[in-house]
Amino acid sequence: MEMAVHELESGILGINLSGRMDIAGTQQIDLKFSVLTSTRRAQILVDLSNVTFIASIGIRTLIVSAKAQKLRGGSMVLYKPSDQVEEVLRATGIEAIIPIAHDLDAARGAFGSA
Amino acid sequence: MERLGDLEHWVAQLGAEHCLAPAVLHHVDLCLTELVSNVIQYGYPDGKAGTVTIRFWREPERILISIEDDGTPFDPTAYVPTALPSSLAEAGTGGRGIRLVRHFADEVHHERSAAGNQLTLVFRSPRPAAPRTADSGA
Repeated sequence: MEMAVHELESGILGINLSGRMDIAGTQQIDLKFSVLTSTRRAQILVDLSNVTFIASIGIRTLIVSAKAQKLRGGSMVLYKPSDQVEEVLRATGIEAIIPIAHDLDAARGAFGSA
Repeated sequence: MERLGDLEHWVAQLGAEHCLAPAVLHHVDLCLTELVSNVIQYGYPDGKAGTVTIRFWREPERILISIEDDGTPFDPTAYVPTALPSSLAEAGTGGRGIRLVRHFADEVHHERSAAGNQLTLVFRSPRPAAPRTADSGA
């Protein structure tokens, strides 16, 4: 997997993930992703549009970081997952605990309510 | 765990050879990833070497996949799904793999024998209709 980071408007931290979020892929980004998302308070937009597959270990990574960020007073939004990836996320009820947004306006709104 | 990449390629090859729909292929890929990694991670706690055998059958309306291992007894059909969390605070960090398998496989069967575990997964997958020839229906 690959990971790219950029500052978006209004202090939102954008993290673009790409590749298969299976065991091997998640292990490649897990430490860096955890450090980025857990060590300071932020609004984090995790762009999943280039993630082609997600397994439970990938969901675990997202939840661990979202929980850590929540404890710091920040929040996380999952952005533009593909139909296949969103189907897996919803099968585990993730949308009820980490907002999923498909456009930036919805993401901004979700940060406000997360 | 490093051999799990082989599984991904095997599934892709199955899809091409048997004209499986992308959605079915995705569900097969996900269920195999979850179950085989589960066996590797928890099936051999004492570190002994083991064997995991995966077989595939195509039937007219469905595909079947069996996963046999000689590790610790484990029956995913005994899994009782817990309520989905309603807040991040109450969400656990693990335990979603079997939920995904039970959600995406149409049937899951488990048998335990002296040789080990045998899991059979069933996915509905009608064989695509043969393409019509120029004179069909004439």
